[in-house]
Formats: sequence, C-alpha cells, structure tokens
Amino acid sequence: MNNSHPRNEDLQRIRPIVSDLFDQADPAQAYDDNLESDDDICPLYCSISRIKQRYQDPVLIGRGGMKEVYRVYDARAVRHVAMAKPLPNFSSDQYDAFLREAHLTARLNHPNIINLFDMDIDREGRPFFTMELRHGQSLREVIRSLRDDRAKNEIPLHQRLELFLRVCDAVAYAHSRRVLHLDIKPENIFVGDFGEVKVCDWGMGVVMAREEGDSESAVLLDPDLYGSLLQSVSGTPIYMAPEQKDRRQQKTPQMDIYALGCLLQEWLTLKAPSQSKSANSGIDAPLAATIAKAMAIEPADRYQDVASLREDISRFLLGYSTSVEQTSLRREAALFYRRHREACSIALGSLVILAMCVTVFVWQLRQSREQALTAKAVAVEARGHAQEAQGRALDAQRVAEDAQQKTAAALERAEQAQRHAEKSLAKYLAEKNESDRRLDSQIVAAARHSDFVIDAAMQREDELQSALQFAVVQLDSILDFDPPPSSFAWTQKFWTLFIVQDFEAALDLSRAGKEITPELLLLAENYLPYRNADGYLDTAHFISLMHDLVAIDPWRAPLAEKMMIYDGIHDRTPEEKLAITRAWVQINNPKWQSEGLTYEPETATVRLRGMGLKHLNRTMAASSKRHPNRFCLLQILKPKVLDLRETNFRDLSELASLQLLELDIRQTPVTDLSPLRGSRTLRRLYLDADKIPESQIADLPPSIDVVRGGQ
Amino acid sequence: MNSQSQNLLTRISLLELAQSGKDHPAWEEFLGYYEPFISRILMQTGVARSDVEDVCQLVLMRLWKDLVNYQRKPHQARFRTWLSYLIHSTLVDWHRQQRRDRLVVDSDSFVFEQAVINQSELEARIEAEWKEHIVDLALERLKAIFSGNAVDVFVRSVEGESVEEISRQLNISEESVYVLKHRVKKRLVRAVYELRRELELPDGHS
Repeated sequence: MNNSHPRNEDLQRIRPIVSDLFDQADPAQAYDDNLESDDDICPLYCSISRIKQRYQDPVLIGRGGMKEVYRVYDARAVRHVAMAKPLPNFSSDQYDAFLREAHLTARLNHPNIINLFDMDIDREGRPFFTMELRHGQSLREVIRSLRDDRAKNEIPLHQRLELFLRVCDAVAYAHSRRVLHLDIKPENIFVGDFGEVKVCDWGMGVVMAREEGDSESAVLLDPDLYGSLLQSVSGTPIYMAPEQKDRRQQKTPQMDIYALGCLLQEWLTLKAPSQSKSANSGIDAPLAATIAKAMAIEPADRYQDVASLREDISRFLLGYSTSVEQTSLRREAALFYRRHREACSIALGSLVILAMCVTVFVWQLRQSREQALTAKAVAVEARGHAQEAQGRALDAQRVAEDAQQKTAAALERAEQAQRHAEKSLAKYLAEKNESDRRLDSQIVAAARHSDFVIDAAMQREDELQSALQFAVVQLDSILDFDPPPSSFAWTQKFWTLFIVQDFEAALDLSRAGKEITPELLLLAENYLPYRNADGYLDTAHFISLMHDLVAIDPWRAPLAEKMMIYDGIHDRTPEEKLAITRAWVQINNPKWQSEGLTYEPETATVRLRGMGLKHLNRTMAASSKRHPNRFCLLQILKPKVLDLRETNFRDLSELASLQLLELDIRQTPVTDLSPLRGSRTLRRLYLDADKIPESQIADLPPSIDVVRGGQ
Repeated sequence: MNSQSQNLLTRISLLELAQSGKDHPAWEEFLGYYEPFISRILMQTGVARSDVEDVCQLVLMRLWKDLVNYQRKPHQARFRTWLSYLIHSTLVDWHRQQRRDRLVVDSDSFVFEQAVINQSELEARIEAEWKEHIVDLALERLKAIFSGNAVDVFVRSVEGESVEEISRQLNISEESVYVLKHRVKKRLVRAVYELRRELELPDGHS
C-alpha cells in the first residue's frame, strides 16, 4: 500500500460540492428519512416490492359454461393478461371442476395452445387462473366476417389451410400428451392480428388413460369426478362425432379428428358442417376427400391420427396428391407440374428443341434415302439392261442347242441303223468312248455331247438311268478341270441334275458361285420342298413344274419333255402317268380340252378323243418337223394299242417313237400312211373305208393287218 | 468492496466486524480503506516518506486496539476527533522515540513542537481529507454501476456546463442528461452514505 494513492480526476472537478455531498450522506441524520429516493436509483425493483394488488382493472371480456374471463392488468409482470374466474353462482364444491381446465392447459406447452400463466386463489378464497391475452378474434368471428363480405375479407386457400395446419399441430401435440380437447370449434380457435393461432378452452378435455395405470394428476382430471356440471356444458352438437353423443362412450382421438373435419369443412365452405355430399362442392377434390375421411361416420374409417390428416393437407399444399385421393395420371402430372413449374418448363423447352432437331434429322435422312432410291432405280434399270443382254445370250445358247439337236438327230439316225443291226450296248458305249475323246479335246463341246447322250438315252428307258449317270460321271470328269464359273459346262451339269430332279445338288452348284440360269434356279428352289422320299416330285407338283417351265419360256419345253421321260421310268401309278400325259398333251394342244384320254394299263390301250387334238409331238419349241428323234406325247404310257378316232390327228410320223401293235385312225384326217412302212411292230391298222388310196395300203408291210370301215 | 455493495439495507459496520480479530477477512478490507488515507495524512504532517509505512502500522495498531474502548464509551467524541487524537498521539510518541534515539547519537536539539502540528490543525486536515477520501471511493463505486458517460454527465453539470452543451458534446438526448445527472448524484450520495456507515463509527450514541 502506498500513501501516494492517486485521487480520482473527477474528484478534482467536483471538489466544490464534495463537502456538501458528504454532509448530505450523514448516516446519523439525513439519509434514512430519504428512502423514497431509491425509486430513482432502482425504479423497477422498488416498484415490484411495493405492489400490493397484482391483478388490477378487470374488464369482463367473455363468459363460458363454467367461467368468466376478464382482461386484467398484471402489475408485477407489467402487462395485460386474461383472467378466468368461476361463474359467480359456483359454490366451492364446483371449484375443482373449474380448476381442471387450468390443470389440463398447464400440461400443454405449445405455440398453438393458449399459455397458462398463473393459478391462484383470490382474497375472497375463489380460484382463478390467468392466461395470455391475445389481440385478435376467434375463428367464428373471422368466418362470420368472411360470410358477410366475402370479397373484401377474402383469405386465399393456402392461407386458410396453413391456419388449419396450426390447429392440427396443436391437437396433435395435445394428443401426444394424451389430452383430448373434445370441443374443437371455430369459437375455441383464436386468430391473432399477426396470424398466430391458438387453440383455447380445454374445459371439455380429458386425459386419456395410460395403459399401466394412471398417474395421480390424470386421475384428478378424470371428468367423472366432476359430476353433472361438466355434462351440462357439453360440446357443440354439430361438431360432435356421432359416437361422442353417447356419454358412456370411451373418449378417443377420433372424436377430435371428426371435429377437425367439421372445422375444415366450415372454414373452406363457410357453411355449417354437414355430412351431405353436396356440402363439399366447390372444394378441390382431394380436400373434399380428406374432409369426408375425417368426418366418416364410423370412427374406424377416419384418419388414424391427426398427423396423417395433417400430412394430407400439407401434401396438398405442396402440390402432391393426398392419401385418400384417387389419383389419375393426368392429375399427378398436373400436380408435378405445379410443384416443379420451372424445371418442367425447362424440360418441355428442351424436349421441343430436341423434337425439332429430330425432325430436321429425319427430313435429311429422307432426302438422302430418296437419293439412294433414285440411285437404286438407276441400278435396277441397268440390271434390266443386263438381263436383256443375258436374254440375248440365252437366245444364242438356244441356237447352240438347236445345233446340238441337229447333231443328236444325226446320232439318232446312226442309232436307228444300229438298232436295225441290233448292235450291242457295248458297241454303243464304244461309240460313246469316242465322243469321250472328243470331250477331252474340248470341254464345252463335250458338255453338249452329254446332252445328246441324254437325249439318246431317252429312247431306251432300260438304260436310261445308267446312261444318265454315266453322262454325269463324264461331265464330272470334265468339270474336274474346273472350268471358269461362267463355263457352259456348269450349266450343263445343272441342267442334267435338274432333269433328274436332284434340285439339292443343282442348287449347290449355284451356291458354289457357278453362273446358272436364274429362272431355273428359282424353280429348283421353289420345288425343292415337294420332293418325296425317293427324290421325285409328287405328281401334282411335277405337272405344275411342267406348266411353269413352258410358262417361263416356251423354249423350256424340251427340258420339260426330257424331265417327263426321265420321270417316266420312275414308279408312278398308271393314273399318275395318265395325269402327267394328259397335262403334256394339253400343253402341246392348246385347243384340246382334255375331254377324252383314257388308258387301260392291262392292255396298254390309249384312247384319245376330241377335235382339238392335232399333234402327238411336242409343238412348243419344235425346231424342225422332220426332227427324227421326236418323242410322242404319249411316250411314258408306252401304248401298244392306240385309238385316235374322231380327232384332228393328221401326221402318222408323230407316232414313230411308239411301238404300237394296233392303231385306229378312223374318222381322222390322216391321208399319208407312208410313215408306217418302216414299222416293225404294228400288226393291225383300222382305217375308214375308201378314204386312203389303195396304192398306199399296198405299200404297207404284209405284217400289218388293215381293217377298213366298221366302228 | 464487493461484499458491501451487495448488501444495501442491513449490514454490520465493517469497523465492527474488523474488531472481531486481525485474522478476520474484514480486517483486510478495513486496511484497504484506511491505510492509504492514514499514509496520506502522515505525509502531510511531515513524516519522512521512508518512515510513513512504519508510522502507519503503529497508527493502525492503536486504531484497532482503541476501537473497543471507543465504542464502549458512553459519550465519546466525534469519530474524526477521535481519529485525529489517535494519529496525533501516535505521532507524538513516535517523535519522542525518534528524539531519544538521536540524543544517544548526538545532542542536537530537536524541537518537537516544530515537528508535530498541533492537534486542532490535524483534526481539520483529517476532516477535509476524509471527506475527499470517502467521495473518491464513492466515485469509484459509481463507475462500476454506471457507464462512463453517466458519471461524465454529472461531473460536467457540476462544473456548470449547460444541459444543451452536455447533450451535444456527449451525443445523448437532453432528457437523458437530466435523468442521468439527477440519478448519478442520488447514487453518489447513496454511495457516500454507505461508505460512511461502513467506515465511520457513529458519532455519539446520544
């Protein structure tokens, strides 16, 4: 401690009054008498310590079933509060019923529930409690003013629903504290000037029983303890759930939910709540459904708890569909749009832009496709030209075939001579060996040779098959040299395979890249499926194939003929052979209507009738009438007896390939019998009387027995 | 200091508490108030700076001893008279002791009367000094209660500055100036009252 303790600077400045100050504060005299001056030093403390009457200036602001409510000034808290007192006629027995409300309210501490401040007994010994005093009006008054002047006091829907949500919050909270209100109605909901919502008047409320025994306070609040008083001030009937009207009914949260439904309905329609369907008209469907669910007659049909009711309203506010709503896709979409207006606009905009891009792209695509099609048309045209050229090439080939046939004719003549000499097959083969040698020298010529070998083989069906096989072997030996794909030899091979109906092998040639006549390829493909187990077409399809061949090109008739003859060695029934023959005759005699063709297999007798029948040789692609190796149309029937009466048949040379025993040419225009002169088999000839000159008959071999006239 | 400012209404005087023993916390507090004051007085009466602390201790010892006697006297003198007597007699004893020591060393005459001021003069000085000491402590206390501006307003008004001027200078409303100067003065008187009640013994129990 130092004696040089510095004096306060302020002390120097107030030195003139120091002595005066010191004297004023003499503890012995002055100060004790001057206590009221404390007010200036600590006015708040002084004022609170002097208060004798806390609640002052009561003004009656309301009266209920049990209580009167005053607006009073709370001198201690320095504010106005609401004070509830029991009705003046209440006796002390009924005070507990009055205080019950205060106790219920005291249990609840929530921003949307009126706050209890104080609970006490006044100087007269009467209980009272104080609550917060709110400036504003009850929801009942708000509804009334809306009803009176709707336009002026309009409150938007979302604001109304927000207010309702606050009420739901309060009730849900109370339920969580196991307190039921049981008298929810617009009169008991307070709306402040700044939108604050308070649920008041919990006088009807009850505390729900806890499962494992009530706490003492809950028991104290049991309404049964308060006798008839509570019942006399029971709830408002129209807001009361149907089951609530039965007083013995256990109180449930569903009663409050019913009342909330009524409240929402009245708040939205401004009409007294009603169960009728029309009551909800003018309300959005989801809200109407929510109200209907909350107001269901059966408690079990109502919302399970206030929270789910609240959830539906808030979903509606946020633009989602509610749980009770039967949502359509369209409504969900509309709600979605409402929720995500901006995002949707952006998405739609992008979609439009995308669609435009796609359109432009597709348009361009079409353009290029059209260009491609034009190019294709040009290509097709070019292909047409190419096919035309190919056709010409085929023509040339036919000419070549003709030439070949002429060669074959020469061979036939040689063979006829051979037949006359009845030479053995060995000699024939030797001759063929000679042609082999020729084949060796030139492949194409050799291929053509195989053709006439086939042609020749046709005449002798017993050797036909082996001859054909031989021809194929021979062709194959040539083809071992592997001539270019365009070589005629390949076509020849194909042609040969086609004749024997081996379409599969024929098509293999094409698959191997050899150049084959397209129309034959097509036919081979078409008829491939109709071959039966032994490798031959069924009769109907065979006939159809013959028709197709000549329809494609009359110059294919020789091929059809060869096929038919080859097919003839195959085991078809006489009926089938007859059908094939009939078709063939018809193809070559277009005017003949197939009217008369019969065949008796036992006697090998063929009868032909009909004036349309003119020829019994192939007429299509018939290069020369004098062609010696012409097959009779009836070849495969191998007739021994032929009856041609009443036909237009004229040229007996057409029967040269048949080995007939009997021939009947009565009522035909035949005038020349010379072709019969060489016949070694004919034994009987039927003629019209006096139609043929006697000199001709005389020239016939003596082995022929001529029968004239008769029927 | 804190313990005093907390109990405003009923309290036992600090002096009374201090009497209960030197090891009582109140004694320390008592010293805190009295030691600077006594040192100051001693310096004014011409005690050498090097001796002040020793003399101060002597005074405080006697003060503590005599407190009991002071209170028990039915008609005691005024507190400050008693205090000035106490200091004066301590000083005289101390000077006498000093002179005896010096006579042994050298025989130079030391005029005791010159060294010690007479008691009535000392009493007047103590009176003035005590007043300033108390008001100074009170001002300290106010600074803990009010903001700096409040005390400033009061001081300025004492110095004769007009309300308008204070309002403009300190940038507060005139109304507040009125309230503040009034309230600070009241509070100051109150503080002086409390300090006096604490630190003085009542003058006469008549």
